[in-house]
Amino acid sequence: MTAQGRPQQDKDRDAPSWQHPFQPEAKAWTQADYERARTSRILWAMGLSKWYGMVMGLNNVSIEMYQGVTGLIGPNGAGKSTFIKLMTGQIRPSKGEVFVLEQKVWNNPQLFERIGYCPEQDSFYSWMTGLEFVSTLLRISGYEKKDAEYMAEESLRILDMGDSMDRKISGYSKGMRQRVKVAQAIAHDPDLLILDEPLSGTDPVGRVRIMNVIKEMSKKGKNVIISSHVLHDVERLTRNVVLINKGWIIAQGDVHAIRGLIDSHPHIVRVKTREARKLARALSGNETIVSIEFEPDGLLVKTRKPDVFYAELPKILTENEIPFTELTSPDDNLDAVFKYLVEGG
Amino acid sequence: MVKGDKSGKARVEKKKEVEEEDAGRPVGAQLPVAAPSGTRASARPLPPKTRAITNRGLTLIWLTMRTILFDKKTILVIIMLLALLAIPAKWLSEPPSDEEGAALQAFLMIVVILYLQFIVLYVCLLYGSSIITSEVEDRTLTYLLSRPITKLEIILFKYIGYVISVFLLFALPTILNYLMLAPYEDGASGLSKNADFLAFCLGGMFMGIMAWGAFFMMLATMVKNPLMPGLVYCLFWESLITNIGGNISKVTLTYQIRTFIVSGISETRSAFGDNPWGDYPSWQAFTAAIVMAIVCLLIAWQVMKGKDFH
Repeated sequence: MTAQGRPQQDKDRDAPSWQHPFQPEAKAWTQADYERARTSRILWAMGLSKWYGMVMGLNNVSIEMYQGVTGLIGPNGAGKSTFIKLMTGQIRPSKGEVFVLEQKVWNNPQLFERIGYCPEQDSFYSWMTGLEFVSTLLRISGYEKKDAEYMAEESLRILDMGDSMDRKISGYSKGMRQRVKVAQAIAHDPDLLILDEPLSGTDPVGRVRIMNVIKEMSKKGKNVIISSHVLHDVERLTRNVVLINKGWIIAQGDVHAIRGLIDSHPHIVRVKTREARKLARALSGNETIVSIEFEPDGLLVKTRKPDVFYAELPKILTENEIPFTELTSPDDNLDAVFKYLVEGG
Repeated sequence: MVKGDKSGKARVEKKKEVEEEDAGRPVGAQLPVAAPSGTRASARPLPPKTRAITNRGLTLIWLTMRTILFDKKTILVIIMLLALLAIPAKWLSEPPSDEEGAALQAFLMIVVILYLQFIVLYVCLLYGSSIITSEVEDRTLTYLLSRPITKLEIILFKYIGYVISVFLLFALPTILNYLMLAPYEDGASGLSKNADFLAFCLGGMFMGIMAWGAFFMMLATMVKNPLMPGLVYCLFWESLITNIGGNISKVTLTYQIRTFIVSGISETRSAFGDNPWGDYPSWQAFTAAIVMAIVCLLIAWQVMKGKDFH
């Protein structure tokens, strides 16, 4: 979790992040801050802004992203692609800086030996076959022809494109083209994979394949930054999200943690149990509970302090010898959080 | 049991170590920063730097040549160039003059006036201005900019690809013109005897393609629509100023190319009639074109270094 503007202090480490769009200008970083930044972050940006003439693409973003899979969420036109283009050095910041894998991004092509980037746009050298496209890009990276072909073939096979890799890209479906784009990004086994809307327009097979690739990379200790405007997609890959809207980063961190910050917005927990009445009795008087509703197979509990509630619930269940089969949070998903943060509803 | 206890203890200790290690990291940073590279069996290491640059260069040159030579515009240019072979054919069927060297003069006029001043210049505008912009318009530049290749390498290798392709495009009809006209007076021996004509004409063509290409590429990195200012340059600078005469015409590339060809041929032959364009040596003219190309490439690189292609 991070705070806007400067690195977190140790005492804040476990605190969920929340940054208000109108918070004051970022403070200057100290040498210690820079040193610390170099030890664990995959990305950090300070006062990062981008304008397209009079149009604001990204506004004064200061952010840190850590190891693992990070989802960049926002509606269309929120500034996700601008942010991704800035972090991949496609465009130059109007103001501020962005560092990826400890290095400055703008005009630093060497960095791309460690980064794989899947752009949003549906553009290719469409006269090439899928295999030619991926291997050509690997050759442009500097790989030997034989190695490039081998790596390209392997990455296309991972994405289930083995049978169609020798066909021209112009004849591919949208889903296949998306997979080719991801294949060119993963082919050199990068440390950081940056995917801009990779699941948009994908078929079910492609969707599963791309998700599996991301999960596999994460398991291997690689890092992934994935943008999407479909919250459900990202939710299946990570709980570590950055919410972006109208060029502002409106929140960052674990969905649970963000939810925890929104005290005024009750958090719903569904407890499936055969002894709903007994549990309701045990929970009555608990200060964190807003309301309790009975359901056919359990209770629907609204709480203002989910973290406290989650911590206390096992104790309550054990002390009262209440068996339960499932504990879910129906609105503890990105949709609810995002809707609340963006629309205030 | 004892063994189990030991391994259990070891596991607890290991877990404790990991927890202690994680306690020092911010949330979400459970993994070491230096992610293991080459975790996939198929991943291969990059070759040494010079080898990697060669691979990049050859691929980008090939990619550019493939794009230019298989372009629809190129088919039209080829058809036009083939159609223009009717001019030497017509000359041969009805020679307007029986003077010595008339066929070679005709060859020279076709190359210098028709090809260089009217076709090569505009074809260079068409292709030179699209060396980079075609990648921007097709949105494929993103793929190049997300590879470990510098902007200078992109400019340089794509430019080399352009020069080779466009030169090939014009070298073949130039050679065909020569093959038709050179044997007119001396038969087959005229081909080798007058080879300097062909060599300097091809050299002049190379000069034009090289310098104009670099200029139009530079223009394309600076303005969004390079065709309009490019046309103004072609019509006003290279056509009008060149033909005004006097010292001012010497600043045009067309003048330098003419000088290179005519002075070059004069240098190899003691007597080659009047030399209206060549008042200084061919190497100077060639150097001027090279300097122009280098300066334009450097400017294009500097512009591209600071420019967004969103």
